[in-house]
Amino acid sequence: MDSPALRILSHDDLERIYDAALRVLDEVGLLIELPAALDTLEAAGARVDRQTSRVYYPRELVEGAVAQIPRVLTYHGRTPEFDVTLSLEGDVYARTAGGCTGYLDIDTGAYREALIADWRQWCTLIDALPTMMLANMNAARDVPGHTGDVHSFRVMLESQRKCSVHGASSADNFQAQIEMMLALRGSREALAARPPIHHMVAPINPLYHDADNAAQIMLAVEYGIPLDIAVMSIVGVTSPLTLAGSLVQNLAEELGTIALIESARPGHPVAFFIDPVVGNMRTAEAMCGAPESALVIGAICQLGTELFGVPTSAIGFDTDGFTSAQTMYQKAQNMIFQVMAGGKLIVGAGCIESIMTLSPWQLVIDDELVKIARRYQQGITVDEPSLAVDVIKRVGPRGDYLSDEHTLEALHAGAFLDLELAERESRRPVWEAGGRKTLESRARDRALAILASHEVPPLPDDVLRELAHIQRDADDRRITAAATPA
Amino acid sequence: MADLAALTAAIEAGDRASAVQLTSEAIEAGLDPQAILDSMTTAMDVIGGKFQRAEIYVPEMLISARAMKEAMAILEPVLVGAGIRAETRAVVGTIQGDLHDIGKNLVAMMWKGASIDVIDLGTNVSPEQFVTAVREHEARLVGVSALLTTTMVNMRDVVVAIRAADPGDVKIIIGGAPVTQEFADQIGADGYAPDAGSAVEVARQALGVDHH
Repeated sequence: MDSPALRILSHDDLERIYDAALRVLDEVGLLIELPAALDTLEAAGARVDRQTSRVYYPRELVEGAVAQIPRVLTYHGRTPEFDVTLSLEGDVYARTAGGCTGYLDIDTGAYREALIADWRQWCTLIDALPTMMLANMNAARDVPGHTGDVHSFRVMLESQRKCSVHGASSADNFQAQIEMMLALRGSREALAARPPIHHMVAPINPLYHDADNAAQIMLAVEYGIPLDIAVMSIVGVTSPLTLAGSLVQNLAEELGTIALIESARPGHPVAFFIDPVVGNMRTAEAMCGAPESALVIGAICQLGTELFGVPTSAIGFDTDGFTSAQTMYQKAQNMIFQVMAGGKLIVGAGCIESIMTLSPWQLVIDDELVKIARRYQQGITVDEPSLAVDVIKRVGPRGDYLSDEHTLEALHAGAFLDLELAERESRRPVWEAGGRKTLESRARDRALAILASHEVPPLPDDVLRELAHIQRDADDRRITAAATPA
Repeated sequence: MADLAALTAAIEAGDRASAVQLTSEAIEAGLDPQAILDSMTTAMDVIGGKFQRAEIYVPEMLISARAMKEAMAILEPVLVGAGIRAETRAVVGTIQGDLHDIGKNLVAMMWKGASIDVIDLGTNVSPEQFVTAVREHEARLVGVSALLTTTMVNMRDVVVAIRAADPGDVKIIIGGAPVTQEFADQIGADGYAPDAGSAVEVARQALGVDHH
């Protein structure tokens, strides 16, 4: 398997964590409250206690499932030119995190509870920024509470053209989302061939899928929709305070869920996405930018890259900051650990304030950070031309490299990383003469320029009508209670 | 020899075995059950204050609450026998559609530590279930928790249902990761507790009860 540049853990320690996770799955198991899911796992060799809905996984079942996961994941756009492929050899991409409720107004900078119009604006930015993908918003203030995810879904399909990682607040709402995707693609076969989302499901930590969660997983498998299982424990609250213990539990939750998916449909695409955040022992709340998170992110990407050989998603753009200073150091710290440990999809782009708030200019800054991340993953090439001994000889003492052809060749080959937003005036008088532009003000200007000029072609009228119709039907349905243990 | 100061100290230290033993000794020595109870709540007030001043962490607070819970299990029948009832009874639950219960459990534990009688309705609790439980238990306090931004909105229905049922002067406290004071004000809740430690103080303020 590939060996990442940054190794938080030795290969032996990775194996010990994997082995401990297998022990947890065998001896503790998962609680899954859906009989159909229990049937599937039992048929695949799991020990199932029907009284308690507990599933105990023999080691071979989990190892077999891990072997089935596709090593290359395609995120299908509206049309193929918007497809994104994640693989160990491929580029780094980023996406927003799901469920944000706040929005920073691009004109005033003020915070407000997000509106559905903000979500349309956000989708336009995502469409225009080459490294970015979306996750669901969920709860705009001006749409019905019980179908916030369906509204998010409709706007996502209409207002941008990339694949999204999108969740649903219930299996019923996921069914409405599936109807929308069928309207978009035209048939079940066409949907399965080019699913425009990866469906996101998160277990309830520790070790629990309620019936509705499991029903969403089974629906996604039935329709051939890839899954991103987001395992998001709070370290010290819903998983052990020791980082190794949290890695063990989260890995068990991820692999136990993957075993369900791969037992239901061998080879079904599923992302390796483990996302624990550190619990604040002063409040028991989640902190998305704690220094320990960086270590955990690095370890997770090592597990994915080194042990399983899969492109790993992790929360490399998470932060709990309210100010730009804290936001930026945390995003940089987490991103570096993720990409240097081989991770491929950086989650949390544009998100601030413990992934509760979306910031349009932060999204633009994070797009620039992805360019930096890609440069970091390239590392330093060492070969005869790059060692440049002949060039050094040619230029010699007191010469200059700016006018040597080697420099021009390397420049054209991408050796210099040009950044559009960074403050690079070097000297204060120059910076002041240039209007004291900051990283943030440039990012905001760029976002405004995108919004003024970027157009997303509308979907055909009949599709738009169908989406609106499905939306209204979902709104009219009475709120359904979360599924109770069957 | 029964020593209430030692009982207070044991609960503050989170020493379960000593708290249980000292409570048994106090009961056997025939001390006033109310005085025994007061020595426990005094400890939890000290702990709550330390927590709010950031002198201790959540797990250090919880170990005291757990010591108090075990001591209370012995004292409870004695209190009932003496006709002593908790001043306040509360109903707590996680909102309909939401199965996350750790925050709610922490609040329940802290309220119990403050000598509030807590009826825990569990998770995925409907507005009707809250109303029924408030009536049945004559609760004066309701605690509603939500973790998800998608379920938080259902809290409004609980407030509406309880006000409509009008079972007397019931105070509703809400909390959970996505919840804010602004949201609490919007939906007409009586209080918002950002964390379990402050939930006791928020409840006392809403009820108009002084610190003892």
